[in-house]
Amino acid sequence: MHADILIKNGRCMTMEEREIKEWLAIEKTRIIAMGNGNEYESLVGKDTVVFDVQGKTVLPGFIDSHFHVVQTALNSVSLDLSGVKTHEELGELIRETSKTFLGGYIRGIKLEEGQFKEKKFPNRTFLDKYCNDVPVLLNSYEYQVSMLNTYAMLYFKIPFTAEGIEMDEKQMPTGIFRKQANAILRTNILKNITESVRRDAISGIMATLLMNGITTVNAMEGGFMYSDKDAEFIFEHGKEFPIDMVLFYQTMDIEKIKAKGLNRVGGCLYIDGTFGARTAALSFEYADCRGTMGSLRLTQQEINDFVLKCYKNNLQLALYTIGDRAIETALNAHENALYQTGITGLRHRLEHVELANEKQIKRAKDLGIVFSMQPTYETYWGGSGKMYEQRLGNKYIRTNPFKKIIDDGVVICGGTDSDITEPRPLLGIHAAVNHSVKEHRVDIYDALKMFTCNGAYGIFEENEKGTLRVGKLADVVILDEDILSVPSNEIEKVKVCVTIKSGEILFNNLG
Amino acid sequence: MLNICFLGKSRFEYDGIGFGDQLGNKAVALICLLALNEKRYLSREKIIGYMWPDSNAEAAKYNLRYNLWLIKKNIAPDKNGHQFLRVDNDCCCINKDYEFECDIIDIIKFKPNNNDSIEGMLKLKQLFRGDLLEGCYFNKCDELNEFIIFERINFEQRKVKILKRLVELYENENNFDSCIEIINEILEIEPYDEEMVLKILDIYTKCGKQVAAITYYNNFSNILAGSLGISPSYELRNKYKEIRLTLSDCNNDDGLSLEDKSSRMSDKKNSHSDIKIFSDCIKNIDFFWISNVIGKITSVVEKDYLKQLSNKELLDLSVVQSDILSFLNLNLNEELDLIANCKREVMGVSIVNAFIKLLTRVCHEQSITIVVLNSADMDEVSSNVLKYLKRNQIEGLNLIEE
Repeated sequence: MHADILIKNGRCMTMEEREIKEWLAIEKTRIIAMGNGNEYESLVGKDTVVFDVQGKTVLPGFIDSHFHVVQTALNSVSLDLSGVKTHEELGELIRETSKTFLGGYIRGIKLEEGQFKEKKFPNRTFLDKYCNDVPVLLNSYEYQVSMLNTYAMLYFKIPFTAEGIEMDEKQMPTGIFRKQANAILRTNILKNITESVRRDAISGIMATLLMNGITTVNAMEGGFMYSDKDAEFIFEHGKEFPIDMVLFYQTMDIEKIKAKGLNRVGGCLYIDGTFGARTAALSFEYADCRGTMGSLRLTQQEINDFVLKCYKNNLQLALYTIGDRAIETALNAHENALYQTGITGLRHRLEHVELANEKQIKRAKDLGIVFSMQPTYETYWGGSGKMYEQRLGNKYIRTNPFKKIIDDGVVICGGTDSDITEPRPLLGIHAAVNHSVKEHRVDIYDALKMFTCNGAYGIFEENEKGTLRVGKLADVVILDEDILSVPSNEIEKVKVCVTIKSGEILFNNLG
Repeated sequence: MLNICFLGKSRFEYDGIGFGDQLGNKAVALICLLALNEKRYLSREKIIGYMWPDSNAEAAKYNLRYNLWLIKKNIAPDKNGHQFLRVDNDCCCINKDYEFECDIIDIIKFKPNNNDSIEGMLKLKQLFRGDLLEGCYFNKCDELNEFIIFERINFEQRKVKILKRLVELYENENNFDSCIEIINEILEIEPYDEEMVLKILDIYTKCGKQVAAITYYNNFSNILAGSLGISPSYELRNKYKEIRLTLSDCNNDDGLSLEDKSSRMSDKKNSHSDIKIFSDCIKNIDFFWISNVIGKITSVVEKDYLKQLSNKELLDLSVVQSDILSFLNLNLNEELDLIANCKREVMGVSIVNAFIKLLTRVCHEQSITIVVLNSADMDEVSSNVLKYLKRNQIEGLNLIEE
């Protein structure tokens, strides 16, 4: 028997007991052999593709445990406006884009009021000055605000009677939509995005994902700020794409989940908000906004009822919790459900969990709860002078305490939360190893576990994925260096040079 | 006869034959402008300002002349020989004598009044086929675009108004199925209108369809969580709890249909048998729960029970629940005297004693179940009284905390 693919002279990190092998053979979709020395020779035939990787690291394919597939895909064909600093700069960028415009409408994303010198969002009449012959739709970073030019006001179905339409002194809409009006407008727009647009956009990001070694994503789709049509699309068509998509349907409609035969629910099921918007629920006041502690989106009773329903229906549940008060509420609900049902082993998850305290970590461990965390947040927002410090003051040193969580026995599965951060697991691994607070740093092995074996555990796929072992699915990545020898502060420079998904070489930069 | 529709994709028909394609967007917009103008009369200058603001004077005048000619060419005189437009050197308007139908004019004419009929309202409802001048945008015609946006807002509001009027009319006729159908149309426009959802729950309850009400609430609750990340309002949640409790009570009566059970529940309220009331709490408002319970009890029990309390006790209760005053059988002057003579700062203990006596007296004759909604929000005084009641177990008094 000959292998289809042989990877030799490598440092194949099995991600089991820190074991490393020198070679690995793949036939069809599976790993058929692994070992050291020259034992592989009998497996090499004339059609075997051999990668002599010369000491480079070989890993299980990365599992990104928190990824908004459709949103990332649609945003990839949108204008990223996060870098503009003035209204004028924004206007010029839109004007330039409109010159090469191909039809439909221009969509700009990732705006924040604070990024502008003017400290406010641009209105309709301003946008018209730069672009009045194409509809323009702009979205704030977290999609809580939409801005339209006049053409777009007439192009889209506008919820004119809804609350949240900003009006000028003449009682005419300024083109800025918030609250319910924004939610209805977004729904109107997203529901008119066709399947083919979704399909094309998702196909378009596949190369980027494979280039970054991602072979499985936990697709967080539907619900608040997204569209149920996204979830429906992944449910119907997720298998048509080269990487695996594990759907987390963001809904509280248990009947819908049951009818679809899904065995998990949630993802970004919001218990609270974000630090950025000061809506994450804290047990203390925000340092830069005294009197504000964020808020819970649902009452304890409502969360209890919902969590209990999930237990009773044997559904794995993923709840969005950021602040310590939200985490507390979620843990209370889990304890209540566990006491009432006695059901364990569903590997319920808390998503993000940025501010868990010591007690909460221990309670989570006792409940068998998995933390689905995004280490790259620390690169973006952690450390002195950055957003966490602005919002939390000196308590910023408590965010994302990876080491403590792991030491206390809670499983962390890693995600990028794309496209909130880049879809690059290696950047997340770098962030976990180089946490701005020294005591929260983890070693490279634990950081790799987050995106491999722990990721598989978080979706009950540890028997198929997450480690390199004979018989398992051949989801494999080859890095361009030996990651264990790279200085820790240079991990982010390491690149993926080969990605193999189920035995297919889908990305190859090795030649 | 000429029939014009501006809502949805514009449509021009003469005796059922369409000819809208012969008119350009500008000519259509011009007719729409005239139709929406209060006197259907606009100066040429004003029209040019709307339609060709960036053209030089000559070109603009020519464009207007051309479009007026186009309209005249395509819209024939009516059967009485009247021309559609009246045009002179300064102004243009739609001829008042010309016979035609137009959706937006019919809608504008609507003013809710007692003579509204369901048929009339349905006819108006059908006119809303989409947005005003749907699909139209006039580049560099800022004023015209503003005008369209402004009128779209107006027509959306008119649509909601007409639908709400229709709901009222159906409700008056106890045609609840149609009522729900129309409310759902309102909710398509305003999907988070909790007042309308509350109305649907009320209607379902009235019809004895508690299960449908609960399902509807759950769906709405999922939509709210899904779209806005929030839960339903306080009022809606309470209504839901009330329905669930009613349903759980009904389910204890075996062998009856839900409708029967529902009507039995409402019959019970008025009989001498058991009474069930739903009480509510507000945080930090002293005596709120007590006041709420007194109000609910007085609305369902016979007046005689209250006569077993002294005037002083009733007056003490009236400090926290003014409905009690009506049981004192006083004329206005006596009432004012009594209030004036009474020590205004009634001790809490007097109120609480009177409250307990009221419960004891009523429970002596019939049993009461008090369902306490939102007990976590109960004020401190009421909370202590509740503890006392639980400890002392008044016969016939059943307290349920939700």
